[in-house]
Amino acid sequence: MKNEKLLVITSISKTYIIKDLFKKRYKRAVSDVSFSVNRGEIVGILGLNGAGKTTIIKMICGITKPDSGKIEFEGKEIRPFDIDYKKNIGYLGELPYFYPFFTAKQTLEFYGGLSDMDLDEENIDSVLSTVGILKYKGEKVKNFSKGMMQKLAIATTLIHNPSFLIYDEPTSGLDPIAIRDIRNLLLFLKNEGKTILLSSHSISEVEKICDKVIIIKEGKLSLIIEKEKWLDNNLEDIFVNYAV
Amino acid sequence: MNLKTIKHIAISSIYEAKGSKFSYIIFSFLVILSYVSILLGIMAVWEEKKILSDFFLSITQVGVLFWSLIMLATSISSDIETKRIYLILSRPVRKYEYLLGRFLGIIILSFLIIVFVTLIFFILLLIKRYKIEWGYVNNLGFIFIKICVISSISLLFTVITTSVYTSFIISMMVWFVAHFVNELKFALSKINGFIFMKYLLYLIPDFSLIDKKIGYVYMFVYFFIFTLISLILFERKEIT
Repeated sequence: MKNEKLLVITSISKTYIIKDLFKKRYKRAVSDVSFSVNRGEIVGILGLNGAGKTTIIKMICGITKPDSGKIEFEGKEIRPFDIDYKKNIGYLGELPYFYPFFTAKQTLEFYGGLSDMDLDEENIDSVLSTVGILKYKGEKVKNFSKGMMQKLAIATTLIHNPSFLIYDEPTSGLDPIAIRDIRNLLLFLKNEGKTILLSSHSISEVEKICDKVIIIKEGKLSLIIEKEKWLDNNLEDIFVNYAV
Repeated sequence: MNLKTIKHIAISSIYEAKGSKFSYIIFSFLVILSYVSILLGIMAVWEEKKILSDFFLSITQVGVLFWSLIMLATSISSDIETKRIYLILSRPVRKYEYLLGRFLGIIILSFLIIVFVTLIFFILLLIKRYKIEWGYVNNLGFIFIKICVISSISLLFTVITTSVYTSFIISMMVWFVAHFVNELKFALSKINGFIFMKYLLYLIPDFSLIDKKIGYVYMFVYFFIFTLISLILFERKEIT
């Protein structure tokens, strides 16, 4: 199972059209990127701000479509109007915002419902307890701290029990204790058999938990490196050499 | 089209609107002005009932229209600005299903606000020992239809501009002009030139036709076309 490819990305590219009042500008965000993710792995995507990490993630999640190239998930190519494959993906964006008047329970019911799930109390309690916020189940989201919000965001990615989790900067702006909690949670999820694609600025976090790292520079793939190879070197030095 | 998804998003819209301070301000405004209409009615002496009902219908129309246009534009724009829409679209949800859910949520709540305010007004009428007439319900139906049509136009401009102010201002202008389409057509027919303006007027619904025999069908066609164009444009829109 370990070497079974869950996600295969082949030569994807994306250019954004930026419309000003009288003219259009084109911004190449991703250019000819290819990589794969094996089942059960945690794969990190590293890159400077604006390198194209979020665009790659948005293309995998179907939020935006690639201009060229192909994305295969669980052996099937994702076509422009496919949405069923998303039932098997849990996405967490950077700085997740939820409807402030929903409680944690209602938030999970909402996102679970969008994934066609009929949730019962047991499902909700189990997921909230996994991320450690069960006691805030009835609390309104507007009263949540940043760390609790991030844990709730992770809970929304787990509620429909997907096999593949995509986390974009899950530890951004959190205090060290919350970062440690999230790191432990990711390792727990890996042990539960989930595959995780993790975009991050934090080299130390990626170094601790990832099996493979993909470095993106100015929209292009700069390096793919396995854990065994960076154990002998410092990942920070490798990052500086390949991402800057 | 997944109706369950649309229902889910519509319910979330209702919850969001229910929690918004703006909804309570508008609702309080409507209730207070309904009460004020009694005072105005007293001053009118002989036509107390007419003043009471006309004033009530006017404030209901303006209040609910303001509410629906602002809630619609802010809810969609804030989803895009905060990137909350990414979390929704990363689920098996098509863009048009999201937009339709949002739109229907606001329309349903507009209807419920009209029903609730009307009940309060009927209670006021009963307290004043006036008879409740079927005509009120009919007029409130017309108001609701007008709000649906203008909201569909607002939806289109929200999709195109994603700006709350632009969408609101254009929709209010269309609402204003829609009450005078007939007069404008007549005025333009008396002037040479302005051919472009004459054709442009066909894009704006003529609210004077609402109580005619085909009024409902006419309004539905406008509502349907504007909603459909909005859904198609949003499905093709790149959300960044």
